[in-house]
Amino acid sequence: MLAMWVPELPFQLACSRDGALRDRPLAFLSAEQPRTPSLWFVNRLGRAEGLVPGMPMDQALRTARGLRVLDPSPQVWWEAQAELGTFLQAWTPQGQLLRLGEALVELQGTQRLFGPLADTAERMRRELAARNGWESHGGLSLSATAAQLAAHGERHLERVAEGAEAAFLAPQPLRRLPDLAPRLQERFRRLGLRAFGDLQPVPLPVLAELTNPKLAPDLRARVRGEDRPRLPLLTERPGHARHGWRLQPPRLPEEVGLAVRCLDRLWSDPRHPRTLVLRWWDVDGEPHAWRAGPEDLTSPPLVLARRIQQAFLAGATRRLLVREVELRLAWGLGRERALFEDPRNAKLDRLEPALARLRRRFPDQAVLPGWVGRGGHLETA
Amino acid sequence: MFALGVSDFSVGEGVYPARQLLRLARALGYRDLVCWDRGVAGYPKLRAELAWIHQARELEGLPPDPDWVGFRLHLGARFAWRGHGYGALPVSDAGYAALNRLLSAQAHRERPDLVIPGLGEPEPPGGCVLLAEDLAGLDALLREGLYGALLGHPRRAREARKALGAGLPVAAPQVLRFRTAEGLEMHRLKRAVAAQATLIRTEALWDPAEAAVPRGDWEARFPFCEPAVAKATAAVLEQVAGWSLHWGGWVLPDPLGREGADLDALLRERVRAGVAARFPKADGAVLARMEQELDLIAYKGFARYFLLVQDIVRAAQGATPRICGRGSGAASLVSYALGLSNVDPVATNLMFERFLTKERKDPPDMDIDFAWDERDAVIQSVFARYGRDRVAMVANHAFFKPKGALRAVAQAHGRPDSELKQLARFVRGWEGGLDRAAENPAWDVILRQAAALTGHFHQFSVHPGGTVVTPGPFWEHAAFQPAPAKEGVSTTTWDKDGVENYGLVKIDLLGNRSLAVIRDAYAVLGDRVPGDPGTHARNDPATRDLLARGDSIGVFYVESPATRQLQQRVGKGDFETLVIHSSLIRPAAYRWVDRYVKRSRGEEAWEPGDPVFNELLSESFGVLVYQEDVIKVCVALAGWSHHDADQLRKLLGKPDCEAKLPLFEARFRRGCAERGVRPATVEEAWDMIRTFTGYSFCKPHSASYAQVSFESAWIKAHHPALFFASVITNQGGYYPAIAYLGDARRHRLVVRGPDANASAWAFTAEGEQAVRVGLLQVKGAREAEVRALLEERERHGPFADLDDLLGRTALSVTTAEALCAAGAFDRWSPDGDRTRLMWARLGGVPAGVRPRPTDPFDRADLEMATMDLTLELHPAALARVRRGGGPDRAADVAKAGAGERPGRDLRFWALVVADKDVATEQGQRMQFVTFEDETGLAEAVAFPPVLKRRQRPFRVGDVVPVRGRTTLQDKLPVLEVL
Repeated sequence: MLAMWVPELPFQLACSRDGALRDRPLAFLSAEQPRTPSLWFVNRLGRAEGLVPGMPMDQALRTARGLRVLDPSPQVWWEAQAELGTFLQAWTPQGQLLRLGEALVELQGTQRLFGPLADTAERMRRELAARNGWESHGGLSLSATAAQLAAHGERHLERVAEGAEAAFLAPQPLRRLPDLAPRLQERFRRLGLRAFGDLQPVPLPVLAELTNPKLAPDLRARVRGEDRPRLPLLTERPGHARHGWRLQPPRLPEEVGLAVRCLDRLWSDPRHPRTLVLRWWDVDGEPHAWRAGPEDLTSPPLVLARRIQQAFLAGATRRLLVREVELRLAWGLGRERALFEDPRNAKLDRLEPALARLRRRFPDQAVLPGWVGRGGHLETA
Repeated sequence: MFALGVSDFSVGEGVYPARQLLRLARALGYRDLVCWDRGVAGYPKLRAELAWIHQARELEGLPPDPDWVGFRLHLGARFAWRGHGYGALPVSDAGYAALNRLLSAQAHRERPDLVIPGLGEPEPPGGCVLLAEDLAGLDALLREGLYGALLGHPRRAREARKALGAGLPVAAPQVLRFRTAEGLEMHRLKRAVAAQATLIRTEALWDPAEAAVPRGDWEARFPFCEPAVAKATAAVLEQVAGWSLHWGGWVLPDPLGREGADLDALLRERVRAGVAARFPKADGAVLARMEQELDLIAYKGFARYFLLVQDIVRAAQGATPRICGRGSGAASLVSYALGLSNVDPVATNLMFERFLTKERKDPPDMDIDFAWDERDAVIQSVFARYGRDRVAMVANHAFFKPKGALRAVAQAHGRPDSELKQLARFVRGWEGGLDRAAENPAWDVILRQAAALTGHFHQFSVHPGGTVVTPGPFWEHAAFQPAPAKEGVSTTTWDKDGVENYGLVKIDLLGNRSLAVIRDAYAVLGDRVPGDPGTHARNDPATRDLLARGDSIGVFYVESPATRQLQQRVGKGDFETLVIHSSLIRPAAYRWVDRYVKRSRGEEAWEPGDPVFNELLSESFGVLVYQEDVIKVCVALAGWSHHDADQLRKLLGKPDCEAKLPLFEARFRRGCAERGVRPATVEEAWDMIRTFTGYSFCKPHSASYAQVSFESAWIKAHHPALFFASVITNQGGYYPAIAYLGDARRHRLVVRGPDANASAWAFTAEGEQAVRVGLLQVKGAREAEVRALLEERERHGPFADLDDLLGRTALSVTTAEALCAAGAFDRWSPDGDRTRLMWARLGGVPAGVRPRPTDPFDRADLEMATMDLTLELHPAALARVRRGGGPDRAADVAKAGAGERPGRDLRFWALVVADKDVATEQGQRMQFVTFEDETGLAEAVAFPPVLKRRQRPFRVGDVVPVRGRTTLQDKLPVLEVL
């Protein structure tokens, strides 16, 4: 497993645009536009000069004379993160994007294509630098936690050998354990457990009492470097599509205009949607989802788009702006494609072009194969 | 004809505050307005505003405004019944009672736990003109044999024609809901706020065609233009105007079991017995005062009120209650004799007229403090004793303030919490509007709407202690409803002013933490408490000395830095001085405080500008201290009647004072000029009167509080360990617990940490020299588990060791962790290693685990995290070691007062234990701050430029690096923060 870490990605992006920004304290202005402008992110040189996030800008400029304060551009950062994902797809199908500039990918099984894992990792680093100009670090280990911490060590490429994960992790402070709740961190500190090595010998029952029975096994595996997570696919599966809209600035559900956006997507693909899930996130990060029922899926695009809009408005009951909307679609009638071709799916596939033409011709009517029932369910007979 | 006015008391609908509604009605040409809200909560406010319109003219010395002469306000209310909307206009006392009963029954229907005897089911009231909002509603009414009329509107002309065709009565007074598009938008906003929905998805309840129009236009349109309708409408007005609500007559119940008795005689008998007990040798002045008060009380028919209060107090707490009668009621010798107050009003020279006069129209009330943890039981006992159908607490009317309005509007626009918090931070401490709240253009609309919403009625809450008992069923006088967020209690729908103006006499049953402090301390002291602790404390030299040197942290009411400094500056600790000082510390009175101090020390010659000053204010050296002083000065200088002066006194404490005060000022100046008072004297007097804006006290109130202060100070002077333990346990004070423990250490007391074998739930005194931290202070420890631990210890003796403790109790990991982190198990770890102890609950340290032991710094961190205090290391010392810097100490500030030249620059780490924000004359924010480190306290001032540079104010609990320069302010060392 390889952890890729592009440190300070927003600052690297800024420096790649303007070379004069290199080797000087930098900070991004808070995106919240408070009355008193304050710093949001500060780079390492800035932190070394005593700057901290949240510091008022005038005070920061007095503290560090050479400071350059930059306007934030979250859209660019998200695009860069997406670009990192695209880059990694060329190397492996399995992986996961983590924080900004951080990703975890599974390289096992790519040896026949790219050679030894360490060489592949090194080539990936070099290629990323050549293509995007981003300096990155890698951590290679069977354990995801060890790989992540190795990458954060920023020694270009660090390989943690199999069986050496626990020893590698032992001296690391526990606060570096990703996603450890502050309450647990405080409890471990009170028990005199400050490093991974302190927590590694704690028996599972004790750990379960300290945390909770569900969390304890995973936590134990992570601190001992025994975690081998199965990473999801970096790309969408064939026949699946994901369309996301970041709403900048966030807006009320009524102002999103979702029907138009959805119709655009539904119309652009002549196939019939098999599953449709609408997900959205409020401005405070609360996730919501709505799954279209079989009756909705068989309705024509115009009706379906309106139905999505209605469902969205009915579900968005919190008095908050919406920050992000995502439409997940699986195309094509019938069941999920399996490894071996289902004869009925094959039949459906052959029918799709004809159905697509008919749908274009009768956009306000449900055009379905004859064996699809009135309720929209595929008949099993 | 008349109009029906919907005010902002129709929550979620109405857009007009009382004043605007009245002016709208008048501007449209109406002279009769009916209050047409859902309920009658807004009626007193409308009435008060109308009265003010007339009074303002009177204050200006102008004849009554012809525009408003003959303008009449009537009572009415809307309600829903069987799914239809109706309105009721009472035309008799019985109708008014029936309407109240209906409204109260509807309000209580959603709270089945509150059973009100005799309230019954909500039914349309008899004795009222009933107006149905639609034809189906009228039909439902007629089917039940009730008489009503259809409320006609041009928008529903067809319906009105149908009713007229069927021979049904139709009345068409205009309903004033809104006038402009902005008004309709405000209505939508209020609907969204009330329904907790976003504005964009909120539909207006009203149609744009329902906008109010001038009376002439209305009357020219159908249905009003129909003669039958006009006649019916006129008939309704005639009926409604024929009855008026009994407003202003005092409503007093008899004490329980004394109905029909000669209460004047009973009171006289009890007071005489009380005077004999209080004054073994009563002199002529006392007896004369007693007779004078009793005669006046009999004249005003107020004996039943005194007896009622005595009955309530005795029923709750027996013959020797732990109370503090305060407010103007404490000026009464009768109260003193009945045991309802603790200060001799004759010896203290308290003015009975502040409480009751022959001319007084609004009913006075009595404020009785109980220990804070006993107050709820007292209130419940009143409900139980007099019946839930006769008792209600008084409501508070909360109006939108800038911050709340901003929050409500922003939520209606879907803005997230993070933005709201940020905005709220900017708004905090503002004196004025919202225009500076944000730069984000997206907020423009929000700010505009929030500004418009400010001042509108928001919601009901409960008055801290105001309780009303009525002679008969409560609904005969007012509607009442379940109290919001308070179990087992009903409240009126009117606020304090409404209740008073109607004539209901309330009793304030309030909670006081210092009474609990004194109670707990006396319980421990037992026989060591002097026979008459109040008098003893007042004459005790050690207590007076303690107060004179301002060593009063923890002492009731005189512990704030401002009061302590005043005590130090004046250097007197007698009762009379303390009474003055506890009234003198007011936000606006600082300039006069300085003059008072100089005059009291003989540094400034006081030459009374007018002989009246000498006569009235000699004890406070010409400075107005008490509310009575305002009354006295207005009577003496401006020639006002006592009643008129009392109106000013009342206004000074009201939120709308700033708007109305100029009229009183003009009248005051006019009165003074007519009597030939010198302009300088008038200026001085009015300048002092202005300092009473916001809050101020009457002398009896201050004297009653000073009495509690003395008892509390006596405990501090003689039993400091017990004192601090009680103060912290009852959380009764101005400072956080850590500051009290700091003061305890400065009094040479040892502070001992929590201990599973020695601590109780509360803080306790161990002998006279040590305070033991109570387990209540340990955050994160579950109360039930800790109490079970204490019970087990009580039952089977102390725990031998930690294993014994864990074996005998069933502590959860969370509680064991919290207790251990706080140091409650330290006795089983002589080396102070709490880590090892923590593992005990988990079966010991597992093999292979080598936990890091706790050092003194870790212990201090753990103590701060679990108890908000430290035992070994002061948080300031901890910060100094960890973060470096700060070579000086807080105690160095005091050196400026002990011979060292002021002007020394100091840098030290300190804990903020008190902060007070004030505004400069230019409206900028500055702060008075009290810093503490292990060496002592330092008073400091941070001027606006410092706060501006610092970006955020000092807040209690912050550990901060302080840089400042020592100064001397009136010989007291003060650090000026740089």
